[in-house]
Amino acid sequence: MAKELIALVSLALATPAMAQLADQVDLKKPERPVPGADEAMIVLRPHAPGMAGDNRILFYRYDPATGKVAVDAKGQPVGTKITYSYTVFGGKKGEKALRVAILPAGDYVLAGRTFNMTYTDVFCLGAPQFRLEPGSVTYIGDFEMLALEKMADGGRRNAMRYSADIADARAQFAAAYPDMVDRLQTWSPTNGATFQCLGDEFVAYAVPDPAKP
Amino acid sequence: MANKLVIIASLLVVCVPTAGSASPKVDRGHGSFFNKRGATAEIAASEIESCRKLASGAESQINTIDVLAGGIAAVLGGALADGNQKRINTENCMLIRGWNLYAMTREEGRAWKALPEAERNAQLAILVGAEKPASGSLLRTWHNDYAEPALWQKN
Repeated sequence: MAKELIALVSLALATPAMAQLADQVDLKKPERPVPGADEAMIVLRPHAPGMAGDNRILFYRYDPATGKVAVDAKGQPVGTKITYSYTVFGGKKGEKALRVAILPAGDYVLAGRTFNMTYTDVFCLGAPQFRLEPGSVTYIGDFEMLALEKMADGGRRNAMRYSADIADARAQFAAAYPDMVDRLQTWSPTNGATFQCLGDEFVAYAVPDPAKP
Repeated sequence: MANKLVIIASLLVVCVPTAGSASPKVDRGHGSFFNKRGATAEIAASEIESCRKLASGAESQINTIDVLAGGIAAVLGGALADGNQKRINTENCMLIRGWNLYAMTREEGRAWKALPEAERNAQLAILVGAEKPASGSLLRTWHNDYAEPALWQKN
């Protein structure tokens, strides 16, 4: 806990924890890159009800056969990170921020979250696993970023509350990629993928059953 | 068997107080243990050791799906002496494997520590697998808090 609190006030001193991961598309720039023949696009929308710090949502390439994440020559996971910040330095309360990334097609896990760039929650005890087909444009969902929230058991922990609204996401995506909006589809994750635990806090993340009230 | 009980019992009484408890009267620092209906001390010791290895990075993979599907039952003694983060990760691992974490009140903890070792071990062996442990109160159980946070609500 103390480490998390220190991280909360040490943004200026922070260094990227997962620099080997590809960044998402910069939607502030006029260029709109599209997936290549062997690539796919993911779309998600982080948001926060209040100060949630600086976050990276991590997606790792995953091999379902071996249950391991892919790593580069330096042994670092391969994938992408999606950035979202709501701090005293920026961010809008409650706004669902469109995020887009282009990745090699293949199998992935929603692997975790780096909080304030120095503290990483890793979903190695059970993560959503999913496949991206070549040329696909996949809506992952919306993630409400919560930082050190007091839980029902009294402990304070991070969270990313999951929800999905494909219609609303499609309307938002259309503004950035009008020519690709018809290709936007929902994902089909399978919960429970495990992989090597490397990070700070080891937890599980299960995408809720949409049929559940 | 006796050695494993000693290990679990020693874990139970050296708990490190941490922030967050279900009640001001119940705290890991007073004593805590893992419970799973029908569990034995052997299963508890094995699970604790597996989760401790995972928490320290020594065990690279676990098969959570099989564990959950198998309905494993067991118990674990409270906090670990090798760091708060490892303790939390070990705790998370155990909860995901179907264990529940119980913590004691100050009075329960004192009474527990005053018992002769043999009696403590005997009682712990029962607490580990009891349907409703006679000591302690439920502090944590597995919930999908990261994706579906059960936030504390003011009354």
